[in-house]
Formats: sequence, C-alpha cells, structure tokens
Amino acid sequence: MSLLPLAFNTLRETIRDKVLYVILVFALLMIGSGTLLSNLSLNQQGKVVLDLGLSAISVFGLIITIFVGTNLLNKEIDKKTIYLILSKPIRRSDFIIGKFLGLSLTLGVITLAMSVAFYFMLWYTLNALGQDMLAWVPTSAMALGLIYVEMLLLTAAAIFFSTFSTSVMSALFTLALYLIGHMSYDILQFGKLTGRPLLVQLTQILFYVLPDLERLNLKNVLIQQAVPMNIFGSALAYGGLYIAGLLILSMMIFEGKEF
Amino acid sequence: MLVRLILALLFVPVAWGIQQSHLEVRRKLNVKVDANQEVSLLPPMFIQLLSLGNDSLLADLLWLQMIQYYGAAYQQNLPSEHLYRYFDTITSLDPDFEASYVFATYLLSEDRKQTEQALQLLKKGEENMPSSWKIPFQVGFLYYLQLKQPIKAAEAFQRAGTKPGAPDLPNRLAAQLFKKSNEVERCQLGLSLWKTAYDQAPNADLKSRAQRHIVETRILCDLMLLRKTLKSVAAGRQQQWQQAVAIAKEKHLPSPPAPVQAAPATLQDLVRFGLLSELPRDPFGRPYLYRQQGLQVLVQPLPWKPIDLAASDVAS
Repeated sequence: MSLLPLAFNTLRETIRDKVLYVILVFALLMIGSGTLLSNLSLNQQGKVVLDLGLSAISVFGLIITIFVGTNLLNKEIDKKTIYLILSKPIRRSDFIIGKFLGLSLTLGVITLAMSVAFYFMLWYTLNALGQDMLAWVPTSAMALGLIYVEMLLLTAAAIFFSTFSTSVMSALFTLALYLIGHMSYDILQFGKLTGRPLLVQLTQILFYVLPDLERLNLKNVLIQQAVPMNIFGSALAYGGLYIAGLLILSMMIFEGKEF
Repeated sequence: MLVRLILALLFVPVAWGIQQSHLEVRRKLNVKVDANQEVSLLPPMFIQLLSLGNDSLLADLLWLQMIQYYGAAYQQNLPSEHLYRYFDTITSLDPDFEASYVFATYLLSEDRKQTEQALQLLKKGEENMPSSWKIPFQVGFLYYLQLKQPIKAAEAFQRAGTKPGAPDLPNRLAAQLFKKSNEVERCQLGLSLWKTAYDQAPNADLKSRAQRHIVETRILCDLMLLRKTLKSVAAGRQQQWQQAVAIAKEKHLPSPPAPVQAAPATLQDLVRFGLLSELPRDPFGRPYLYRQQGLQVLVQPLPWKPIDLAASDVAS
C-alpha cells in the first residue's frame, strides 16, 4: 500500500517544477500555431492542425519524459532523501513502481492539458470551416492514447537507465532509445539489404530486443482511417510488455544497488 | 545612478542605428533568387527515416512549402521543375494525402503540361487509396481533357463510380463517354451505368433525367446493333460480288453486274438471314424505321427533346 503515497508524492514533486510549465507553454504555443499555418494550406486546415497538434504533443511529451524521468531517481540520491525513504518499511521494488506511477500521473495530466488545447484548436479550425469535429475525435483519441503509452515506455526506460547511470547519461540513453525505436524496422530492412548473414542476424536481434516505437505511432494512419481495435489493442499490449520488462529490470538492478 | 541613466538613454539611439544598418544589409542581400534554385529536397526514403514517426506532419510542411514554391516560380514565370518531386515526396510521406494527388493533376497536367507525371502520381494514389473515388475521377478527367482518350476516361470514371461514397456523376460521365465510342458492347455498358446512376440519384429531378438517359441510350444501342448488322450484310454482298468479278476475270468471262442494292430491303431480312433472333423495338414498343438508301435506321420521335440522340437518329 506504499505505492499510492509514493506515486502522489512524485506527482506533487514533479508538478512543482517550473521548467515543466515552460515546456508546457511551448507545447501549447506549438499546437496553437497550427491555426496560423493552416491558413496557408489550401483547404487542408483540419489536416494541418491535426498533424501539427499530434506531433507537438508527441515531441513535447518526449522532452518532458526525458527531463523529468531521468532526474527523478538521481535527485533522490543526490539530495540523500533516498535514505529517508528506504529506511521506512518500503520495498525497493515499490519505490520504483511508485516513482513510475507518479510520473505516469504527471504525464497523464500534461497530456490531458495538451489534448484539451489540441481539441480546442481543432474545434476552432473546423468550426470556422463549417465542418464537424466529431468524425475526427475517435481516431485522434486513439493516436493520443498511443502517444501516452509511448511516453510511459520512455519513462520506464528513463527510470531503468537512471538505476545505473547519471542523469545526463540517462537522458542521452533515453533519447537514443527513442531515435533507434523509431528506426528499428528500417534498421532491420537495411540489415536484410546488405545480404550478409551476420548483419541480418544482428539487426534481427536488435529489432526483437529494442522496442519498435513505430508500433505505437499510428498517428500517420489514424488521421485518415480508423484503425481496427485489434491493431490498437495489440499496440497497447506491445507497449505494456516493454514497460513491464523495463520496470522488472529496473527493480532487479535497484534491489542490488548499494548507497 | 546618473551613469546608468546615461547608458540607458544612449542605448536607444545605438540600438536604432544598429537596426538601421542591419536592415540596409538585409536589403542588399535580398537579391531575387531563382525559385528552382532554392529547392533542395532529400529523397523520400531519407526524409521518412529522419521523420521519427512524424511523416504526416512533414508531408504537411512540404505541402506548404510546395505552395510557396509554385507561387514563386509562377511569379518569376519559370517552369516549376521540382513540382513532381514535391508531390512524390509528399505522397510517399503521407500516402493517404488525397488532396495532394488531386491538386497534382491540376498543377502538373493542366498548368505545366506534365501529363505523364500527373498520371504516374494518380496511379500511385489509386494503389495507396483504393477506396477513394476522387483519384480515379481525376484520372478520367486527365484522359478526357488532356490525352483525348474518351474510352480510357470512361473506364476511369466507371472505376470511380464503383468506389464507396461516390456520387452518381462518375457513372453519368462514363455512360456518356461509352456511348460516344460507337461500339455496341460499350453502349450496353453505358446503359448499365445509367441504370446505376438512376438507382443512386439523390432526388426526383436527377432520377427523371437518368431515366431519359436510360431510354435514349437503349435506343442508341439498338440503332448501333441494327446499323452494324446491316453494314455487315451489305459488306458481305459487296464481297461476294467482288469475288464473282475476280473469278469471271480469271476465266475471261464477262463481269457480273454490280448488285443494285447491297443493303437488305427490310429490317425483317436480318431475322430471316438468321443474323438477329428478333427485331428490337424502342422502349415505347414501336418498331424502328429503316431507309434502305444510306442504310439509315431511325427511331420514331420521342416525347421529349433528345439529349443523347443526334437529330439524324430521330425520324422527322
């Protein structure tokens, strides 16, 4: 039962961070700029606002995830507050899960705020054109859901990297994971193109070990057509699998860590 | 305090002076650049790789850039050399960008006369968006207006008419074009398309118009069939006579006289010769009129001014 207090404490702690608000303001400005750009788009206003909004949420979500996620554990260690927490009857695994849940809540609140701004801009743009926004809502909500899952996966990765490296290194590793994650399928294809068995096997291993973040990125196809629930569900399960795996690894490393 | 005030007061004119010199430099640097030279597009594969999942957004940004580029080239009266590359990259990044395919048709084919490239893009669009009716509809226009190939246009319109959510216009256009091909089979196809257009017509006015088209197209198909059969009889007789002339010439016999009338005397002959199982009647149940001279087959006057039938098809 120590999970919830830990999670809410983490939420309170991260929400107090002023830099978070600065990033959030930038994200909202970016989402809002869709309206300006859409005026130049020759009847593609809805599409521009939709694409820009979803990409802005995704990119700023990544920045926030890296910024907050990689700092969290090391801040506790640097400020020595970790001794205070671990001296209480709290399991180390609970500490990791509690931190993860707290960060998830923070990201949830931030994603919600960006989503509200995004839907407001979409409504404003489509309303001016006399178009109905409702047709776009289910598909874009699915895209937003998967963006959130991607953020959670990166949060789990950030926590995992934080268990054995410094904040800066964790941030770099998480960013690298994000980049490779979005290119992992391309890397697999490049491996096949070389025709060299060793490279093919190596890229295959990389593909299976590293998360294929493009599985969680349906925003390019969601905009035009509804994605079947089984594909959406399997993407959720895929994300969940990696989150669970990364958290288990984090807990294992954190259990053996000496302070 | 005084020094700070003096520094603050000095800041304003100094800032103004620097800004003025900056503007002057900008004006000198702002030489008109060839719109085509300003374009540097990476191959779509690289852009896709670097987009990190934001393909659709990059397609939008390239779309905006393409509009600016086209406008600049147009103003400078230059050929938009990179237009096809823009559209190709945009549609590779976002294969469902329907407006891009449609817009490409106008810019590439009508404005820049790059019809082949426009067709290539539309083909890509049909592959990427098999349920879109607008793309084959554009193909139809391209074939009809630019390439002057009405049958291919009709086939594209027919394809568009079968897509979900398509209005009845593509079917109407296909039917009109098939009718012009002067082939019985295509005319029958046109007739079936008019029937589809009738079923899909959203209001009574369009339904009534489609009904007239159905009547007239059926008449037209009958006229085509009768004329074609009559011509084949006349051509057969002519051929028989030519063969007889050749044989007579070979055997040094006098040439047989040319047939007075190669054409059958009545339409009923076509049934008698076994060429038709029965004579068609117009949709009002009336027989078609036949004039042996010139192999003319006509329909009796219609209760309305003909839309699809030519004046020479209707008896006065």
